[in-house]
Amino acid sequence: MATKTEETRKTGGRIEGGFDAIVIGASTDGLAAAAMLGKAGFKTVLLGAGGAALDEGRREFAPGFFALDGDLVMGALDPQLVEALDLYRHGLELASRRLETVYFFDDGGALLMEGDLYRTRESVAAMSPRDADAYADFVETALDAARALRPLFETGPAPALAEALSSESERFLSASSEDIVDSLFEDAHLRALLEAEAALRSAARPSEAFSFAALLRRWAGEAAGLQAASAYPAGGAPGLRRALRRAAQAANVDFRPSVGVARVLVEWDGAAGVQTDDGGQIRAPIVVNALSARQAFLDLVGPEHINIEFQAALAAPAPRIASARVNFALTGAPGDERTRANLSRRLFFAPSREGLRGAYAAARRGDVASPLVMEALIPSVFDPALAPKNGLVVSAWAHPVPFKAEKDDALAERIGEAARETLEKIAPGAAARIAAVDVRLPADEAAASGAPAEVFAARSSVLDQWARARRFAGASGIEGYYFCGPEAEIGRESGGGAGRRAAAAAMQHAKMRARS
Amino acid sequence: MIFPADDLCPDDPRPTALYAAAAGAASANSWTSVNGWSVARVYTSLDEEYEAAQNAAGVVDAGPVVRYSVSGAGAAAFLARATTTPVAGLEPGESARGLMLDEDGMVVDIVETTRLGESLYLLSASRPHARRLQLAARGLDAIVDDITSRIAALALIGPEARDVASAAGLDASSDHLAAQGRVRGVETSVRPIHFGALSGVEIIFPHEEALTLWERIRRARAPQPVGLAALEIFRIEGGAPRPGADFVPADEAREKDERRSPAEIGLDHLAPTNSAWFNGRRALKTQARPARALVALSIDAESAAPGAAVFARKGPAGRLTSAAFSPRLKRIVAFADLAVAALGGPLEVALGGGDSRAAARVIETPESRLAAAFRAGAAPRP
Amino acid sequence: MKTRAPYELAVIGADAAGLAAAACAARAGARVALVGAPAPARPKGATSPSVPDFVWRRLDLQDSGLQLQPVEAYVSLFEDGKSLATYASSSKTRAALEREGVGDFRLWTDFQLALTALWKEGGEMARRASINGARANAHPLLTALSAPSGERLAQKLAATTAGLLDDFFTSEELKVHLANIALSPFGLGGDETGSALAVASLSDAAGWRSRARRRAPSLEIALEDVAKAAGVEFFSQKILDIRADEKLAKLSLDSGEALKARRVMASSEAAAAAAGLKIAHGLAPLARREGAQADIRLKFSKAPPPPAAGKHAVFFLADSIASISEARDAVLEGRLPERPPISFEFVKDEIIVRAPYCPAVLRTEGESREWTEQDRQALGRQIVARLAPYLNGAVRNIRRIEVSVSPAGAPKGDAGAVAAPPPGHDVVGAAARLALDLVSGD
Repeated sequence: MATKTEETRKTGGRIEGGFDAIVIGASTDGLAAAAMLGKAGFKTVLLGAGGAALDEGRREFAPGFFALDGDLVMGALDPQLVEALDLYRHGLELASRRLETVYFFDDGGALLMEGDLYRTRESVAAMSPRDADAYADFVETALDAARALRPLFETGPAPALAEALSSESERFLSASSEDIVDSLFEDAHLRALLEAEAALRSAARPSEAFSFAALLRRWAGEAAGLQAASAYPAGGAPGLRRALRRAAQAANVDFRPSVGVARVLVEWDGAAGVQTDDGGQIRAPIVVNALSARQAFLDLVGPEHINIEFQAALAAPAPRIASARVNFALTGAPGDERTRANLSRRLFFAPSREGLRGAYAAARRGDVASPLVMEALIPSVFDPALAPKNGLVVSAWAHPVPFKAEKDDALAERIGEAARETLEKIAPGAAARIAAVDVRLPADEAAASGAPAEVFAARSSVLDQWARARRFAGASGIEGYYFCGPEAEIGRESGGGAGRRAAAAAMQHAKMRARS
Repeated sequence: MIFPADDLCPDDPRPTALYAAAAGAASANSWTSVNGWSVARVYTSLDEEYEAAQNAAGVVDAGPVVRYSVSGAGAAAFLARATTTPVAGLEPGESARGLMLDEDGMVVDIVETTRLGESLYLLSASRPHARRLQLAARGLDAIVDDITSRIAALALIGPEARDVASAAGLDASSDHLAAQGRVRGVETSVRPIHFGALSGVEIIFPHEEALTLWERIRRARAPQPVGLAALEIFRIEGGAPRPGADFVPADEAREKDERRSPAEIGLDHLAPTNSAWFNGRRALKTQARPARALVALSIDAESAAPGAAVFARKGPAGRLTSAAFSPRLKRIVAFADLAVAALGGPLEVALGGGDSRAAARVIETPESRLAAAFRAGAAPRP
Repeated sequence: MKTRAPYELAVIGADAAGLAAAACAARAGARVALVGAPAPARPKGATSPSVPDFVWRRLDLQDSGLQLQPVEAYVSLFEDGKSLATYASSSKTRAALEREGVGDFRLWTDFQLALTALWKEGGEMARRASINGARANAHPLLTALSAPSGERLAQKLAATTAGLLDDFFTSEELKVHLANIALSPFGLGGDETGSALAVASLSDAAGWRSRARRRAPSLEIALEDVAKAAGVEFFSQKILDIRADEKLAKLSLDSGEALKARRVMASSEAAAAAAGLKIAHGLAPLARREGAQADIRLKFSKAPPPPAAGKHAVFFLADSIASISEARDAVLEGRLPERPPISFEFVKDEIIVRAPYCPAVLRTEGESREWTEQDRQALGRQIVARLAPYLNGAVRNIRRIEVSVSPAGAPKGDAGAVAAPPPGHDVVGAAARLALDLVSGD
């Protein structure tokens, strides 16, 4: 779908000027930053496919079955971005605004939760009154705390936080999931539910300090105007990127997907543009980088331009834990009434505490436990074209699995097996109808996008993510250089907030420069 | 040349390469420890040593100065990053002073870089920086090696220093270039240096040959060994602050406001923000105006100790950070860390424990003249 | 049922930390109750925690006859016959590393500086958060994070032990040694967020273990005397329940008595776990979340020959940093690690072994069960096999193996009623500081 502005134009050793801003990497955040800058009247060029090059849309993983890669549900779609770019006008469409969630447990039990967490009290009314009340009270306190902490999760300044929070809420931030549930509930289902929700796509074990904050971060997000909701955009994660791309095109952003960046030019103390793979230069006083922090600072700027302490902060221990994106091709119609009702819901398997601990221990050893934490959705219900008639595509995150930087078919096979067993817990009988299993691991994402595999590993603890996001936003003091790579977002989803913030900072900088 | 401060809590200092020779000459038997090395405070008598270096030549055991050899294709990039020395402009043999700054532009150390070969440099620092240099070398093609304990180093200072060196067959190439060569089979590097207002040469050679070289120099002209106490006077007269004494190195500061910027210690001419990039430069540009100033004072008194309070007309202005009696000025010379607002007016220093005070005034030093010229925008770098 | 007037502070756990905490609070003028059975006597000559200077001064311990001497060295022994030692004195350690040809020795001084700075910030925050567990007022973490460059502090606080050590050192032996001595008291695996604080806490001078001099009283005896003299009232009964409201906590004891106290603290997390009490963790990445410690006494018919490093050192065994995290994972899963990191010391004709990675409750085939005599024997045999290569054949002289596993009661009572000192290597100082903070009012 190459448009006029998207033609491949090589610089061919030339120096090209006339731009106000350069954005490197067409990830969700890169597109968001480019669109914001373009809309504000900055002559912007977007270079490279970079980041997650997944906006081609669907991928056929079995004959007639298509998968949509990337985030499964939207829980942290940046509302300011949606509004500023008027994304609904550019084709963003929510197939489901607030997904209900059905939780499944080890003992065969299940629990249906409203899409609106503020209506939890009604969801759990069937439980013992004591636990129901305790749980509903807790959810409300936690939602309030999450909302108060939102500036923190959005890496903005948060000077008044200490006043805004009760001391209980600070505990939510620093305590482990296990401590939180131990101090609050006795109901096994509620305990498993909270621990598993906080653990999903997080490398922090539920027994580790700061592990509960991952859930708090998710609950601080909003989708379709509702805090802590899960929405599903038409076309999945690629659907969001498509809308951003259109918004950027409407804002006259110059797309050059085939131009690779060899270096970011730093002159004096500021960014001056980029040097392209073919030896040419594109010059602009603002450079926004949406690639990984390693690429953005070590590869493209280089140690000879960044502070020693800043570079030290880039070092991170090698990841051990990852999440697998699993797609199942299911044949035949679902059986009973109950299962049919679940087709348009978010389905979640929450193992017991022992099961979850065992799964983390196994992943660390390089093994795959079963069952795993699983968040599943059936995209073909929202978009029938993804599956043949009488077929279903079930897409899921399975967590935790071992992290491997290289492709490993045997590992993928074992994960597929564990995911299949977990799916059977969610939908008994489904395993028999699986025609194909597609397992996507960090190595696959890395191969598709050119980013290092580490970027696709499970996220480290919220404290660590926050520290890095804040630090990298400072870009080691290089004026006019802004970062909105994966490390700039806190939490498991990419909702475009980092890109919007980087663009806002760049505009602020331009305004200051114009004034002086 | 830079010379480090003595350790506050010496425990079990090690002998320098020249220890045996120095001990033989140290009849005063007054020792201290510097960076963990044994160093004589006084060899024979302070007056004699000062006199000799001032008017003839003195020899100093420079063993406690920390030395790194930096080699590899990225050696220059590494030094340009880790220090403010203008590495790119150094010819082989040339030396330049600079600062080591942290990412906030605060001073970690005062250092000196000598280019020994095409991509081989010697970095002299007043204290060890193993961690900082380990981090600074990441991602660069540079090998940083701490060679302090593998070499011996001595300095000849005073107006006749270069004659003494020549007499021993140790010539620097010129008055600003180092020479390397073999002297009777011993690999040596001889470079011209400045210590405060004194000029001289620094000679570096393998640890094993320490005593041979010392003996050679002693036979040539018998320069007076000069201890730490006399060096301290030359240092203050020369206006060279010492990390650990006159300011807290940024890496060791326990509180943020203990740290000092280059301007606050009067060395902003060593970290010009209009030449090549170095660690902390961007922060330096946005730093607030200095609130403190490290200045050299002369005090009309016979004795004063570091820590003594300094008063301006309006009240307390700061304190002395180092002090020594200058035989040349017949009064105390000292460094004082003062509030900028207190400069310009009359100053007094509290003496002893009592109420007596002595008048003090800010003096010019070779260093402060360089800084003033730099601030006036006139001077090229020294 | 008898009740008394409320105490200002009840301390749970009659170990050295609890005795010191109670005595400090009593000397500060508070009415203090100390609850808990006295710890089983340590054999004479075994190591004990150290006493920080401020506790020594507050309790005038010089008058008690107590004479403590820091343990000479911590020595890690490796399978290939190598060993590595660190000492209470940083410069001695640096010199030893240089002598042994460990290239990382140059970084040692900077490493110590980094640890001291980290512990100063992180330890202080943990201390304030643990008071916060008992008193709701401050937000130490949020306040620190929202300060300028709070992210630099946050990144340091979030660091892992493995990450910190890898960032500084290249010597595998040095890293394993430091990880083992730093992590084992907390049962951590080294890859947890914030576990770098365990290493930072080693910079605390009083975190180094000590021995009482021969013919001088042991630490516990000296502290007990001081506590009694200061007016601390002792209760050796078990706690059945604890209920608390804003003002007062009520402890029911199995003798039928009830104690009321304005504040309740445990001497350590382990003491709280042993009494089955839930504590508010505050900000404590080092908190032991699961598991127990086993103490194994091996009695020999004649004194076993110590390794080359001498009999006064404390010895550590761990295969690798990975083996430490594997041990942690095993404990979380409720099984015994295959090759657990352990430490041991020589006391006359005995070897005392600490195995800090033991599950509190064993799980087999999805079922939980308590420790049995058989399990304890199996653990004893495992430990003997683990030690055998280092004892030069002396294992055949073992006369008796005594295994005790620190108890874990079923959790009971109101959560958050009991404060616990922030975990760190200086257990006595942390407990004493918390006790003083609690009785000093706001």
